[in-house]
Amino acid sequence: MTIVSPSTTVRTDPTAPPPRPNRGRASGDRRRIRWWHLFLLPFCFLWVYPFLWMISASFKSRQEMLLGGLHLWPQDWTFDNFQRAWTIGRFGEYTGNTFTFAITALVITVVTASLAGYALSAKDLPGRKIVMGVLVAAMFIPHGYTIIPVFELVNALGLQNGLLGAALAQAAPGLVVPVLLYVGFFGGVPKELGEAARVDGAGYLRTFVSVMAPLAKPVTGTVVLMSFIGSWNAFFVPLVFTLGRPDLRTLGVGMYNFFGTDTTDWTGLAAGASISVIPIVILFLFLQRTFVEGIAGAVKS
Amino acid sequence: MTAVPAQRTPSWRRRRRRAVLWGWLFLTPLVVLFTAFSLWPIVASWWYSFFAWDGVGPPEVWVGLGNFAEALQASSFWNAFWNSFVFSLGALLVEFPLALCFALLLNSVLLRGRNLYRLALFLPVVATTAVIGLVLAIMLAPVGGVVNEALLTLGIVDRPINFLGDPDIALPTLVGIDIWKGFGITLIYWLAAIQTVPKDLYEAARLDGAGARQQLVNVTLPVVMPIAVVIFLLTFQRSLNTFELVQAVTGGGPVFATDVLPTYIYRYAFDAEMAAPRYGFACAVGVLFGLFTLIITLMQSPALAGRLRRSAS
Amino acid sequence: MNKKHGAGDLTRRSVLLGTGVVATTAGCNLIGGSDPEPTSSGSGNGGSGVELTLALVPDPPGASEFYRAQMDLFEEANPGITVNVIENPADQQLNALELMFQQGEAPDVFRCQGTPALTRFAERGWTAPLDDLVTDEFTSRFAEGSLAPASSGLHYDGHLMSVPLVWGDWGPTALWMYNADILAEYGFDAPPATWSEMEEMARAITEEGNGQVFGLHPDRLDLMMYGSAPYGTLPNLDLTTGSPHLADDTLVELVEMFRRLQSEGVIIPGWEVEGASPAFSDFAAGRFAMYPSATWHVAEARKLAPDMNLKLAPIPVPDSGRRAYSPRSAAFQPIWSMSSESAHPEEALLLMDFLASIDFYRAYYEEFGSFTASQIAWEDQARENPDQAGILDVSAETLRTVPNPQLLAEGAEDFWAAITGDPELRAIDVAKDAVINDVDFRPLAEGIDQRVEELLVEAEADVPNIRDLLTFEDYDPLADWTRSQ
Repeated sequence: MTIVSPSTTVRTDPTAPPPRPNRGRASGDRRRIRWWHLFLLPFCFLWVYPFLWMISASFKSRQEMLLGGLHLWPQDWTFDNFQRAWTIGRFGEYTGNTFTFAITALVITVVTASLAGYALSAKDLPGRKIVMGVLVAAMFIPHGYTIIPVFELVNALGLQNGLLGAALAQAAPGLVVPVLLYVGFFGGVPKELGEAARVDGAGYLRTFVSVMAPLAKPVTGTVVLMSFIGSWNAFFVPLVFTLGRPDLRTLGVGMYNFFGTDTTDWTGLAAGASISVIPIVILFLFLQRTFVEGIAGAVKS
Repeated sequence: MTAVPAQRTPSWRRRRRRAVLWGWLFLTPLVVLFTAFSLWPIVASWWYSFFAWDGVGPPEVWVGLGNFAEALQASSFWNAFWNSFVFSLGALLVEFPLALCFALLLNSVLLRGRNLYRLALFLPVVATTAVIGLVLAIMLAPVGGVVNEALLTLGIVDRPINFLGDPDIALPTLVGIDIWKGFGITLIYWLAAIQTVPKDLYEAARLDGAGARQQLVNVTLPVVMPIAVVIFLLTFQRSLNTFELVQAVTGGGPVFATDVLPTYIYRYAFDAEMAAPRYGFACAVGVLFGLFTLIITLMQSPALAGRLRRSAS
Repeated sequence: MNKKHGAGDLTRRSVLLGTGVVATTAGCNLIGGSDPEPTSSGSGNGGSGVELTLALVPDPPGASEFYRAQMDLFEEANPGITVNVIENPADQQLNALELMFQQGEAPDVFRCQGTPALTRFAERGWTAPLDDLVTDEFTSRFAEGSLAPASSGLHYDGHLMSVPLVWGDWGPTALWMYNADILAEYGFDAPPATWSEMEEMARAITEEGNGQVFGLHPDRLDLMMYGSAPYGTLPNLDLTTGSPHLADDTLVELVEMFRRLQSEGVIIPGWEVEGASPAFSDFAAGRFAMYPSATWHVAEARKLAPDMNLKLAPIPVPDSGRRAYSPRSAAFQPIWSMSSESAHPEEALLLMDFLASIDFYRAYYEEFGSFTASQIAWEDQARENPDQAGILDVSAETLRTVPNPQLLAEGAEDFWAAITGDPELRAIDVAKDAVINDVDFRPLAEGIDQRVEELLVEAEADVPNIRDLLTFEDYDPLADWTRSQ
């Protein structure tokens, strides 16, 4: 194998026919793979059934939702739930906050994790073992109850009642997995790519920014998605860090307004859940491509 | 094939020093954030675990190892510990390999509609847990639940299965639900991992006459291995921290049959029924839990430990 | 590298763009800080403007608008006072409050629901005594004598520390809720009066119900337990003797009966989990005939099945005759407290007075249909509603005041903390263990008794007379208890 500069990177079009050699076998594969639909279609329908039911419940009356069985088509369509969801879940007020919070946490996560992952992928970095060891060990500590020390810290920093403090507290404990993913990825990128860039005169930073970071797109896409979902639905952290500023709450907190001490507004909750899932689904469809397009052509035989 | 490392000339040393410097510069944000928001809280909770403390004001009543001793002697702690372990077994033995299979299948450019399939498998991840709890309770109900009705009609069972109410069945049921709910995450990670395999390698393998299975064994798996270890850890960690789902579906019941460590800790740290929450005790349980899982992981998977050592060295 | 305008670039650019847009619109929200200025509104409210913060739970769901409207009324009646409402999720209200107190930004008035919570907050000195509130007029809003410090449930250390909302004389009532149509269908024209009648009816209905209709759901088995032996709120202690006595014969009989019914499949399966699907929805769906329930289930079942022949009765009693009644150990459940750190105690007290006003109680009842602490505010209306009248009737018949050692036994606080701090001592869990896992109840109960006894022995080291404090010799489980002397 020889190395080519990444500038020759060519993206294969996923919809284009597979590479020329063995055309006969490829179309045979295609025919064989069609059989999978027989399994995948019913399987996926059953798989998403509870989710679809959640959506359909948001158009049902409370009575129909709890007693009406499991059919997906509401007998009497109602849109009251969405109206209620909007006011109870405070979607109007909270959506902007949620974006601020989620995107801040996401930027913190992606920047910190990709930088660290790249640094840690150099096997000869002194101190690497310790950092990796601590990261992995920390994964096993349940963190549900560590909120009190974090709260004290954020108070001490004067970041309480602001979304930055909340975003930091949200992003930081979740950094381990993204860092390890980046380490795994950069560790697998052939050394020669970096060397090639260096031959072209690129320094450490330039190599990272213009060669390595773009290559890591599949990992970045995943990290972005997971981080976004995490903070979009986050409940405890944004609640605790906006105690004195109810106007800064996020949708994850608003969703809990459907629960009373004894009773729950189930249909309102279903409607709220249906609305709040939309941005995530859009993001997923949007990032979909990064899961398909790999680092095609990075290494040539 | 590899460029031979440059000789240890002064310019090599200078370059290396710069690389180390840059490396640590890159690490700084992580070290700062992680120390402040993860390590320090963990260390603080170790400290708290030596106190009888309700979480408010400075901890004052030192009980030494009392909290630890109490937890270790409590059968309820071991019950929750065991259940948590069952959750991770389910995730590691079922979800982890199964998600790989689906990822390989859904990665194939030959499969039409794979984007939709991926979305479908992913949707449970984003479904609001509380609503899902209700949906599943309705679906799985022994009386009037659609699953049991189907099983009865098909003649698979002659009595409805009490999926969530029977203490022997509730845990496996919940593990199944947990796998369903988290499957999409593992799937996405696998898909990303597979994407990091340079396409040329497949082409080369194909030119060498390798079939699909050989490509998998000889190309895909070796390349994704470093990330596979991460996915393994991630699946493990996520399954140990199952909280919301258990709270929403069974609340740990019936009679603690599905109690897991996170719900156990929550009960002691934040239960509103308590005049004096036992935050110190909850911290001790958390510490024990962390230690045990770490030990078990390292003991039970020497292969994984070896992997880690190798990728960390 | 070639510049390509693929999806990746788009992603990055739009993320940046999004960040920029959001950052400029919401920028200052990021940093925050300790400046306690909850909202900018209200500052233009005249010279002597006082801002109060009220931290509440929007309960039931959707109550936000109701509370805002009520606060507007309060502001109207008290010019110069603005009320900022902070809403917290029901589950997290107490945690949120604790953190706010630690932060030094406690709300002036807050919802602090339940005796354990009030004890916790009062012990830390966070709640302000409300003695100034207590006038003859104030006392007249509530049932006679219900504000006595020893039994109100709102007092701590002899001072009024809380005002109630949705709890009153009827509060701890255990109801027997039944579907009269199902009973009639299977040939019964009245609800069971005794345990063996209950068992017989449940068996008959389940047997003929053929897997579609069941006789019984043990939803609030705990309420049945409380009412079947002289225990008070904590069923681990026999209040007539002051000793742990969960392994009481009658109680064992009760639990063993349910165990029998469970193992023979008489009880509707699926009840074992207190999950998302509550008893009242199966009840409303007509899947079972009767169950011991809490008062709030009535309205919920009615909402789901408006035409159902839902009836209420007292809980069946042991065949050997009644041994105790549903215990009313406190007149109220605490809900609203005022912060001892409030910068505006006088104004906050006005707000407390408002939250305990007949108008507010009536408005809450009219809005949500739940009883509120001032019975005179709504009783006439409730009498016209058969369901609500039913609750009042049953509660009059089956509730009796019992001594509440948690309020009366001063000096035993550590003992209570030890008992309530151990979730494994909860009697209902032990009973459910026996019923669901089909094991003998007596040994389990004896195990609990033994551990409570150990805690008592421990407590005796500090409080030598603790057993005397927990013994109420003049307590007759079949009569209302009033403090002698």
